[in-house]
Amino acid sequence: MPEKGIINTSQCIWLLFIVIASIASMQIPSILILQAGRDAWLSVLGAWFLDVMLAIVYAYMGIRFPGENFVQYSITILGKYLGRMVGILFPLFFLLVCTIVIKGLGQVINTAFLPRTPIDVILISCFFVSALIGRKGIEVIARMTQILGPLYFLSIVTLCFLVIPSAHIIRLKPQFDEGVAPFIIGTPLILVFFGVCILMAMYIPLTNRPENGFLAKFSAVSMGAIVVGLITTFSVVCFGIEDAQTMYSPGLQLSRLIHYSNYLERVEMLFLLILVGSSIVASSSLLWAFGLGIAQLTGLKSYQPLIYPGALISLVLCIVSFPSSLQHSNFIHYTYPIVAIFVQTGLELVLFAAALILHKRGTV
Amino acid sequence: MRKRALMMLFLVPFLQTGCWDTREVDRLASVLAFGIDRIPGNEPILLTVQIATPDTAKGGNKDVKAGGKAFTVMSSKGKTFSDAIHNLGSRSMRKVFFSHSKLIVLGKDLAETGIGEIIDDLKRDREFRRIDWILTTDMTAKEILEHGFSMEQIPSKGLDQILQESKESGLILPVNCNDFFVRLNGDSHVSFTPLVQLVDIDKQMTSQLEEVAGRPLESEVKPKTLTVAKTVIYKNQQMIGELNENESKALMWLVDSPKGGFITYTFAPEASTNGEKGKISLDISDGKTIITPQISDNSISISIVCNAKASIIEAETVGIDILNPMIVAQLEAKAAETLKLQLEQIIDKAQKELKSDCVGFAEHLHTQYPVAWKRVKNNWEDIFPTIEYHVSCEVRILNTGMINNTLPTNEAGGIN
Repeated sequence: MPEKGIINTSQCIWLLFIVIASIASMQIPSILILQAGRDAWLSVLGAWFLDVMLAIVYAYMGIRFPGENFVQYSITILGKYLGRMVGILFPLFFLLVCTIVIKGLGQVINTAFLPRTPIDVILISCFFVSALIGRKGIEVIARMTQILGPLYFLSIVTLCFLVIPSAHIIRLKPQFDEGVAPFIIGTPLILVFFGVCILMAMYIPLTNRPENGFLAKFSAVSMGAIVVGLITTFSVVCFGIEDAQTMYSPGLQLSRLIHYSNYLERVEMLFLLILVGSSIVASSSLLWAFGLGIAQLTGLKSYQPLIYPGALISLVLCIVSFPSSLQHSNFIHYTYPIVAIFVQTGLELVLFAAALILHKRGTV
Repeated sequence: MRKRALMMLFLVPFLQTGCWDTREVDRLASVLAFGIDRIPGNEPILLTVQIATPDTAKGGNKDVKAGGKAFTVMSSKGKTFSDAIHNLGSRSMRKVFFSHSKLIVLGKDLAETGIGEIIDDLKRDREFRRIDWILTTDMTAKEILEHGFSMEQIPSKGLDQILQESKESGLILPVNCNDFFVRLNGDSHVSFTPLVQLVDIDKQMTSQLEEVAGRPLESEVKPKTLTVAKTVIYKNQQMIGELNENESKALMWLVDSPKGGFITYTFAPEASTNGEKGKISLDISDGKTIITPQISDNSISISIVCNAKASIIEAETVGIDILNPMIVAQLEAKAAETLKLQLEQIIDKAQKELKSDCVGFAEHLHTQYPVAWKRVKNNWEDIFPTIEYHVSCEVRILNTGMINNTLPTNEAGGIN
């Protein structure tokens, strides 16, 4: 196996949580509010439930094929050629998510903090750091998340509590104003962002206790749902749905609302810290997953030479595919959910069904 | 290893991306408040900014003592609000920086013709904050920003303090940009801001004193005073009217739960020995309003229940026995009646004069009866003035201040 590192369950939890935290700090809450309105927080709950259900499948597959991630067991189940064709979709998907995360980060930094800095420079800096971390392997990323993860969780929860004086609970009412349709549409929309946690299938073979895979994902998604749910709910109760749905980063706007007399205000730099840290660590683990997946498909001994080229491809995609924030937002809103639901749920369920029908099992 | 270190050194400058956006404090002009007026001509937006004068704002008061002001006022015109900001650069030696602004003043002409065009920029530009106070004036914003306070070197700071205090004292409900925008987006599209005025209070008071004294008083002429006591109502981003001082206080009860306030009324005990009347002042320490819409036979009615905890701060009624529970009950009932009248007055004004739902009935109806709201929302403007309402207030007096009963005075003015 190209990756020799071993991580424990708690590291696995924080690794997965960081990926969700990076989503929560960008424009995803506003897209969700646009679709689900005041019921957005319920959609987060719904997506949490569905994602936990999906985690059962991933955890079961992790146990059925011990020591194999989904790139490997797709080859075991579907054979050499078809398996590789299916298997390559996972690393490519991770590269796509990495592109989206870093572009989103660059866009927020460029719009709100460094407007005169060319976005390309911000992107290059981010990719360079991500690739540097990703190349060091899973253990380095895991140790980083073990320190940063709890810090981010507490910071986001604290940010939300500090904004309470500006919140009016009446803005969350009435629920189901437009029937259940917004909630039903919103649930899969946010599920596809939680679904990036399919990264767990890459981590399970490397954990010291693979049987704890479900527990890890359950804990990570629960914490992630709390963070996304808090930001979404507070965006609605502070800005109302009309304004919240048009904001590029509602979480950032929330942090700009914090003011206690004249001594505690302008804490958005704290939010920037969370944003930059979580996005870079998340993208480094995505780059790592991309490199590892491709290395396993092509039979390379090491995944490390693939990290920098992966980062470069992702950077080019950022610059070429999303020349402006508009394309990025449209892609996230309309195209990404279709691609994501196909890879996260569709492919995995097909593999699961195929494994059951063909009676395939991994070898210990 | 050495190669790697050299490569890292080479890359470090590229990671310092902040260089593009570096801003030295001594090259910034921090805007403390800004105002927007509408003027005739090709460039209809007039932006006025109040900037802290760098040498004096940090406590180096040499210039102030020498007669210099702690603030500078600059204006610029533009086709749009952002154009006016851009044009300001042509006369400011320093980069005009809006992030430290505390308040926004909207001129009367702009407010009357509509503020839609500036709202977008206030939301979109990263330098503006949603926690800035928003005020409207019945003059021009330029006049307000040029005027100073006698007790505060920087006027915007003085206005900021007035607004922070006014909520506690129950005088007026200060509104920040966020609440203003959210109310404008709300079901009734009605919002409000406090009204800032330049009032010649000193002249008024001097003439009243001259009337009493019967001769001209020897008093120095003082400048007009910045006053925030009334409220301006906006509907669909346009100013439609204003509320006076008492109505502004009553508005707080309907849109917020006041944490302070005053009720002053004339009182004569029912079983009074001498039947004399006097003024009673109560200080509200905690107020709460529950607004409940009721729907029956296709008609909508609103029930408003106010509860207040208060303490007596002045009881000039002669012969009143505050230790008597019956008298306290009468005081409470009379206070509740006074409060009820104030609330009815503002609702009547909203329904009959302004014809706009500044009291927030639409939001309550929407949240509690969403299905019924959908039926009426398109005709809400016609329905709102006809809605029946019922106000009931309860005031509980919890303490009587540092003393209980005032000692009665005899006819000669001495204490019995």
